[in-house]
Amino acid sequence: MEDEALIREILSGSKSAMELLVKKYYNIVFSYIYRYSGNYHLSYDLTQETFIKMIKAIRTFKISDGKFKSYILKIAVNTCKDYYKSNYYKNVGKNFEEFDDEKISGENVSDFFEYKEDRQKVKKAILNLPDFQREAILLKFYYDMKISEIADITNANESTVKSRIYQGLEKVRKEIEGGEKLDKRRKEI
Amino acid sequence: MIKEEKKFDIEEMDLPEGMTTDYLSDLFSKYTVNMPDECEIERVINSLSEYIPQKTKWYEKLYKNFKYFIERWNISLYSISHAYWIFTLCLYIFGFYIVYSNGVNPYITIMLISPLPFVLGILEVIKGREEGVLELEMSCRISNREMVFSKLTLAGIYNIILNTLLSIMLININENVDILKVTMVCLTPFTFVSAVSLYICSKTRGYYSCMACIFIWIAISFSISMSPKYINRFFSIDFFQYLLILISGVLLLIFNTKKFLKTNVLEKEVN
Amino acid sequence: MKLEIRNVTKKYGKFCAVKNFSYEFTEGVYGLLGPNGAGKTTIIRILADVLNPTDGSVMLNGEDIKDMDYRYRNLIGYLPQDFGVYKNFTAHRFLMYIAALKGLSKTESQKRIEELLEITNLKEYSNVKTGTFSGGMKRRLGIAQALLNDPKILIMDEPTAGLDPKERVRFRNLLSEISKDKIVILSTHIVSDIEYISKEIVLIKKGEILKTGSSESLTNEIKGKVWKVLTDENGLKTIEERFTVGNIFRNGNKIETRIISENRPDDSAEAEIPTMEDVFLYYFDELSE
Ligand SMILES: Nc1ncnc2c1ncn2[C@@H]1O[C@H](COP(=O)(O)OP(=O)(O)OP(=O)(O)O)[C@@H](O)[C@H]1O
Ligand SMILES: [Mg+2]
Repeated sequence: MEDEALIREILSGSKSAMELLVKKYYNIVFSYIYRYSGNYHLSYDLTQETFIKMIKAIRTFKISDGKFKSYILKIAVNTCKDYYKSNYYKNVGKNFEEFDDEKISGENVSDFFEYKEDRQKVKKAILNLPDFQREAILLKFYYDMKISEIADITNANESTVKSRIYQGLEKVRKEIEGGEKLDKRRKEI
Repeated sequence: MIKEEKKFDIEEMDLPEGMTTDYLSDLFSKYTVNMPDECEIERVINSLSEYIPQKTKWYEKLYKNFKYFIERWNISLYSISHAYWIFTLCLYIFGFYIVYSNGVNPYITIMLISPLPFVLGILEVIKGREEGVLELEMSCRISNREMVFSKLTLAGIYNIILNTLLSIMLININENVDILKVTMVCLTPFTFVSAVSLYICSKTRGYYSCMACIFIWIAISFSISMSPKYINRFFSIDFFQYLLILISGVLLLIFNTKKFLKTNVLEKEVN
Repeated sequence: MKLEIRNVTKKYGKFCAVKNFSYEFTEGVYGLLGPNGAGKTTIIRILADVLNPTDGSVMLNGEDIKDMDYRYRNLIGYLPQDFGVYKNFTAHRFLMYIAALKGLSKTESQKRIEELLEITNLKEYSNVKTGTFSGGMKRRLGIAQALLNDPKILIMDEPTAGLDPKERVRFRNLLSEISKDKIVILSTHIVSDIEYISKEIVLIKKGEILKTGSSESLTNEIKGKVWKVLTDENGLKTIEERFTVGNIFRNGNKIETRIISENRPDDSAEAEIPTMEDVFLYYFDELSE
């Protein structure tokens, strides 16, 4: 069913339409928040928060405003931003850096480690970006949003978004290549 | 875990040197996400269902409201003191008795006592603040606002029942008593005095200001009873004029009930 | 379960009682510790949904408690600091009334009230008017009513105020028994109430978090700053002028003082093992200056 029809049904009181909508967008929202925060526990809660904000505002959602996907991602982006603005995070959240609980069924153990190391590198590079660059890059490369959509979601104009992505990518590359050089040196020693 | 092949459109922008779509797609696909299991999604769905606007048939709504009020009134019965019921009941019995045996003017009697159960009911409502239980009541599932409203309506209905019973009995013992006139002298003070008391209590939040209302009303009633010409003038107005007075009384009562609910409970400030 | 205070500010007029306060609770016992006027009650009231913050929000599992409304209040048990009762109610009737407000059915309430009167040692006063209760008995009634709905989140503002030492111990044992799957938040300035049962202690000063940690970590942090000094009447005066002084024991002419000081106050001073009481003095003593 189209999003538009789902939303109409939700407004007329259909729970099952809401279930469909949540199931359809859960992964998108969750993966965005996880990639932004790098923390699973936090992501569960912020995902729930995002959906609650969505349903509370659903009356005001107009199809003419654009795709539902960018609508809900915009809420997710702002929810994350608000959370990281909170001074609880400043005080305590940073110490909560979780150890990575990624479960991977690797057939080959060395493959598995290599994979895990790579993943860790990319994760770190992305998490180390300033938040506005991180937002833009995630939206572009994981959700294939148009520059104009990203501009709308992050409240910036298009040229700003482009330069954020550009600079962000440079930083990511630097971090990863820098890391690789370091690794090589370590291995040589 | 999802490890999708990333597809994205990079036509519209510049990329740093040496970064191709393939390179980026390979790079970003490494940052995988473990998706949570069904029960996490269920949790979200459950909490969202509270926000789905519910459409119900009118008779379902009616039944729901009926059940709701019965429940709330039941709880109100717990908190309203026994003394309140006993005292007000005695008041009406006493009123009937003095008319019946001492020949006191039935109109004056019913006028005097007709608003008292409700105004005394207001005292029962603000008792929680007075005795320091309000803060605890506010933290309970059933909100204080609901309870205040239910206690007020309960006192109002109780008052109307008492007035009706007394009127019927007065009409029965004395065929000179006019049904319209009795209704007039009991409904007019009931609406106006109740409305004024609610207004004053929402302004001052006080136990004593509510008591003061009662005494002022008693004083007014006595002074009216001293000069029967006021009563006679009141009785000489025609039915439509009376209807107008009654409607404005009811509107005033509704308006002030709303005001009372707002100032007494809505703001979550406990002092 | 995660209860999160997010950037909460509370102003009374111009006065700021709580400033941009953020904290997170999970299952376990938490103690809010601070001197008079620190803002403990203000925070507790906001958590109990009886006071709206000027700014910020409280979130339970990512849902704003303002949106949850009665669903949130359904989960909590609350004991206010100034807890009143309807004086002409019996203990039993009062509990029945609160149980009804909490949405419990009559049969449910009857059973639960029996249990709780037993637990709080009030069984024999079940049919006594609460107007005749002593302060400690009222407090116990308050503890009983907070537990009526088997709350997932228990919020108590100075629960042990007015309890005698025996009841205090009973209360502490009760808490450690029931706190397994609950968030328990207590405020107090009596250190011993929370020292051994709390998972984390939050030191609050002037509406802000000063420090948080387990009692172990908090006492460890001031290791080497607590001293025992022997002195006499004359020496005591100078010591009181120069240092933060804890307990003073008089033994004939000799006076044994407990001193909080960054450095060894005196060659004869012996280092002592810090307790939570010392922590309290260490962080909050300047306030009295
Ligand atoms: N209703 C109010 N109006 C104005 N100021 C208030 C109000 N309630 C509290 N305050 C002020 O806010 C500050 C914090 O008060 P609060 O009651 O939260 O402190 P507390 O830590 O609980 O103190 P105590 O240990 O004495 O209970 C105090 O300075 C108090 O004077
Ligand atoms: Mg306090």
